[in-house]
Amino acid sequence: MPQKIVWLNGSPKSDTESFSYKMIQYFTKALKGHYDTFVEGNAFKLCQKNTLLEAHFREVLMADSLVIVSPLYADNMPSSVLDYLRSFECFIKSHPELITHPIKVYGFINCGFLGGQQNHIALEILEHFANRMHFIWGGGLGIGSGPMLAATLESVPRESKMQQPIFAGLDSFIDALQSGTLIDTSHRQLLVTQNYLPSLFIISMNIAWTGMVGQNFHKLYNKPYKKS
Amino acid sequence: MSTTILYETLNDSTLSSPINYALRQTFTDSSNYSLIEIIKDQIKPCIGCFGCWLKNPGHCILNEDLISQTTPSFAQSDYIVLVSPIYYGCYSATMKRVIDRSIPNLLPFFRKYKNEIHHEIRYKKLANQIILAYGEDLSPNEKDTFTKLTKANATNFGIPDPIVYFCSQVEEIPSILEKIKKHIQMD
Repeated sequence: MPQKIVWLNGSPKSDTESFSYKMIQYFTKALKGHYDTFVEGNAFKLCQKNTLLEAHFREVLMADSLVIVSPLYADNMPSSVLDYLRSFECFIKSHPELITHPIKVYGFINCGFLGGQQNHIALEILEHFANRMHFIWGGGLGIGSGPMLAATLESVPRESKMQQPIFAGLDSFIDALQSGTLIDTSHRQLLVTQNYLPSLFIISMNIAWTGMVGQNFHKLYNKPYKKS
Repeated sequence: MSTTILYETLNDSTLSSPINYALRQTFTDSSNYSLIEIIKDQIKPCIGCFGCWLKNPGHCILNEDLISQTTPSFAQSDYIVLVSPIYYGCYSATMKRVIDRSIPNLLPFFRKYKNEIHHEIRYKKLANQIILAYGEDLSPNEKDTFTKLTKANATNFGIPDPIVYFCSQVEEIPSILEKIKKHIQMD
């Protein structure tokens, strides 16, 4: 039976800069043969126009799975994703006749911090959304060190000690999506972290940040809102 | 104690109007209180550009909106009171725009804090937070998630765990606001 999956990209960045977009491509490749139809939307763009949003919701309601792929902003998803979730709930309340089957909701959240566990609250929020909508919470994967992973996903072998936990998590998540099953853990969450010394992670990321500041280095520690 | 109260208007909660009215009645008797009405169309969402860290450190580069008032208040106030409806255990999208665009108050650099990695703080201290979270039918699990969220945010900002009040009925509003006021005055 034809299977349809809808990806929601939660990142407001352009596709070339977005790790979430990169992961949607990665997952799509892994799911070819298991799903026939792949639809993709970006929360930031969709929420700018009601007609786009409603057309997207109609696509989701005909799908088997909805996967929210998002960065972590302030321990949560970006505001456009929250806008999307709430708008979807309001849309369904106005169009209950469009619900023909419960949709499985999955989440993939990545943060810039090292620890995958720092994504757990964002995944709980998605679980509550799925429950409110009477959808099925399929589960979620939370990954740390998103920017580092973006740079090493294809260059550092999956068998390496550093990447093993990440690929174990990715494989379990893909298995769940392929078979349409629920992740079998507490709150249906997989929280994975690269094998990397935290102190070394801090040093290497801080060096990277310093490099990115470039010619604005002299303004780096500006305090424009300092109390007088 | 200087206190800034950020409260959302124009949402579909039946509690929004009575809460906002009560706020305007309760927190106007002193110049120490500053009320900022948060209207969605007056705040753009964060675009994740890192301009506030890399291009114009300390400032959001999308500065020509309400954020020019709200972001400084996190650094300049002693207390921030966030008043928001709660959906799925998190802030409304509107209030989240405010929070997302307050990250110029952090530095890009990482540090180890409370056994996790977090950003360094740009200022010596950021405002303590009190939160009034409302919704007509919040489940215990959603309240639990929200409380965890506020603590995680506080850890990121290097401030103590915030005080969170949940309001699900109009009758609860006066006593909650009195408690908030007393807490600020007693500090």
